[in-house]
Amino acid sequence: MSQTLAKWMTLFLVVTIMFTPILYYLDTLNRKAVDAVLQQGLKEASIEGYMSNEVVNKMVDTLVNDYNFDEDVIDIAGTTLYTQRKEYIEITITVPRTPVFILNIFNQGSKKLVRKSIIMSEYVG
Amino acid sequence: MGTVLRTFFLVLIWAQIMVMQTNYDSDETATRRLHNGLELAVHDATLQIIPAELTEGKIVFDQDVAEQVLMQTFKENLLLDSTLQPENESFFNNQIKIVYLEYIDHSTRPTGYPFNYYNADYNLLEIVNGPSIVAIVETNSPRHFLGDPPILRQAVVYEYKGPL
Repeated sequence: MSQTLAKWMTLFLVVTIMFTPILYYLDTLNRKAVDAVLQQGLKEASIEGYMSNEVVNKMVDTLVNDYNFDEDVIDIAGTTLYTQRKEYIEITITVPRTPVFILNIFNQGSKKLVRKSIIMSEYVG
Repeated sequence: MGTVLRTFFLVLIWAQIMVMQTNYDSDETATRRLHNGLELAVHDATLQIIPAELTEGKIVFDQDVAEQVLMQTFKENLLLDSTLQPENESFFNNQIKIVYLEYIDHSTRPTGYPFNYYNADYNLLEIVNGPSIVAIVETNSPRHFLGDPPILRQAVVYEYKGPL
């Protein structure tokens, strides 16, 4: 009986140990993807003078097609009005985080990955 | 007993690998954010030119304003306070220093673009096509676990873009 119990308890540990590094790596890669998309989006928004629909669609497209995010869960907010040159444009990308521990018995940290950045507009008008 | 020992060593090795992984991940993420943040900051700084010089066809940076704007954007994007010390919610743990800032414009270099910009102190080589700002920042990596945190240093050369 005690041996069976010990084996079962070890099983939990072993499963957690097997999956944590790769899941942690996945989380890292997701953050990297969101950072890259946000940076590119900001530069394009800066040239246009606001966060236009094309910029948003392009960001969503990249996240969905290249990085395998689910389209429904991506939330992109930002400055949608024309902004004068030297005024700040802001973009925020919110996506859900993937779990780090495969068994949901530890603290997984925050549920969402939120990245916000600002850049000055280059728009002349 | 055998199972206990095996489990113990497995957990120990796992913990060490995870420490290594999270440390490397902190280095990588911090490097990327440092570079991205600086790029946006220098981009904003390059927009600050003196309009009077522009009417004569010269692009000359307004250095005081440019530096203010650079600091402002850098602080906002990386969540730092006025001395570039990280705030609580910032990803960074250590103060970030702007170690080098150079303005290449028509007042310091009227002609001769493009040219190979070379900074011997930081071993920075870049083709500069027009008036640009060069900025280099450094900080210690915000590692969660002990270990010698490496110095992360990032350089950005950003060119003036806009109406001539």
